Amino acid sequence: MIDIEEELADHLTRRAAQASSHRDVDAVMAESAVVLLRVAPHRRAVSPWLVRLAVGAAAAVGVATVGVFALRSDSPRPVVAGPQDSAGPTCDVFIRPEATAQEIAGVGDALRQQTGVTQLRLTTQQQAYEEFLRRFADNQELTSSVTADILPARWTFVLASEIAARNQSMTATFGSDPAVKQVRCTPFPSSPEPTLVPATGLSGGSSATTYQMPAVTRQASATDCADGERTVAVPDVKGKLLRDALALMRDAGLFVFESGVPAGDPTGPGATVWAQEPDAGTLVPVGACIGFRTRN
Amino acid sequence: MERALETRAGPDRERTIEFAAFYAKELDGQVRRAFLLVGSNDAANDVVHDAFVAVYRRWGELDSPGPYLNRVVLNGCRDLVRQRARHERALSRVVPVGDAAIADILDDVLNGLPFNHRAAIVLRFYAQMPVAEIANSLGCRPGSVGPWIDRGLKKMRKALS
Repeated sequence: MIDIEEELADHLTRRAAQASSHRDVDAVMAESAVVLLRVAPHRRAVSPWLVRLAVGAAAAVGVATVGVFALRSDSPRPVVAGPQDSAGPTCDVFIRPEATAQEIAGVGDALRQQTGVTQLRLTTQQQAYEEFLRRFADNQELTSSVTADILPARWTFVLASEIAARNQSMTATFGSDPAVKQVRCTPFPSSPEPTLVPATGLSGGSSATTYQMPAVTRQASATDCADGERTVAVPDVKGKLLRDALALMRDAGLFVFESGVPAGDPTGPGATVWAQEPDAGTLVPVGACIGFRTRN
Repeated sequence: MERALETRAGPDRERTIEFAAFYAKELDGQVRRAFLLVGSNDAANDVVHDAFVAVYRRWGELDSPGPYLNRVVLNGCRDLVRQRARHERALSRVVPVGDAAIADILDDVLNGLPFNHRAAIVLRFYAQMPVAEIANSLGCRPGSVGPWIDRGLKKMRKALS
């Protein structure tokens, strides 16, 4: 006696396996375009988690761990090690997926004009997609839901250490470019093991320190911080222009790490500091990390 | 004008990304289901892609695009089968006898069933949908689904006996 239900389910599965999909989402959307001109605008505002996950994961593929750019002080105990002529951090400038080829090229041109930018190379959206597929080959649900056009292209370069150590902030330079989504840099390749600063608001592990700012969790960042014996009082920079605040911190022998990524804080010429951590007056070791929140 | 285009770029971008993810997730399953109902790969793809066009037109208005897509695909399959029946009167409804393979018998019984009965069986035994979801997809009462499935199974048992 045949179990008809089981047989039927097997039969349908075998038959269905003979079908093949003609994948062409562009055609679907193009065919809808004429009608779209007449319908009300959609009301959804939030993109699906999967896409955000995919974009975030893709962004992580070609990048190191850090969303940080350091300003190095001229303190008597330099805490960023490495010879002056060695290569500095590797940086990635992620381009917004909707940027045109002209805008992507424009960012590249601007980078070429930056002092100390070396080994500049472009990873296109398609190349990023291929990286993404390789990286997440074991997660078919994720890879099947992502197309090349939603992943960011990126410019990658190595910054000469002497430039990085001085005061050049790529985040500040490119953070306000409308074509740029994000700037990320690794720490100095030759830097010593990161040491955490024993100060309020700093916590974490060895290579991925979570830096907690007021109401915002900063992205994981590896930092090169001092554990020196000499301490300095953190200056009060609230209300000051960001660039002035940076100079004050530098003069005090402190680092300022700008991730600027999760909060999207401005870093342009008009940006001012509205919060800092640790608070002004806190005694911290020379070379300690100070976080800012900024606004225009 | 340029400002208007810029204003549209953000939401349109979101819309495109959302829909592309939905399309990628749903396409294969929908094509396979449609294939079981219409019996042709090309026709199944046509029906499913027409349904995606309909969904995209209403994207953002739909709280649950998945069930809506199911319904549009099933309606498309139903229309196609009706159209085919009108134009191809000679479509076989003969149940083979003798030593025909079980698969052939099942296919023929399925093809001979009214569309709703066939769809209910495919959604139940292939897509593993619960009765309530099948009823929602077919636009009928849940109480109708069980008898449709039972009648289909009864015919299959009879043909195989």
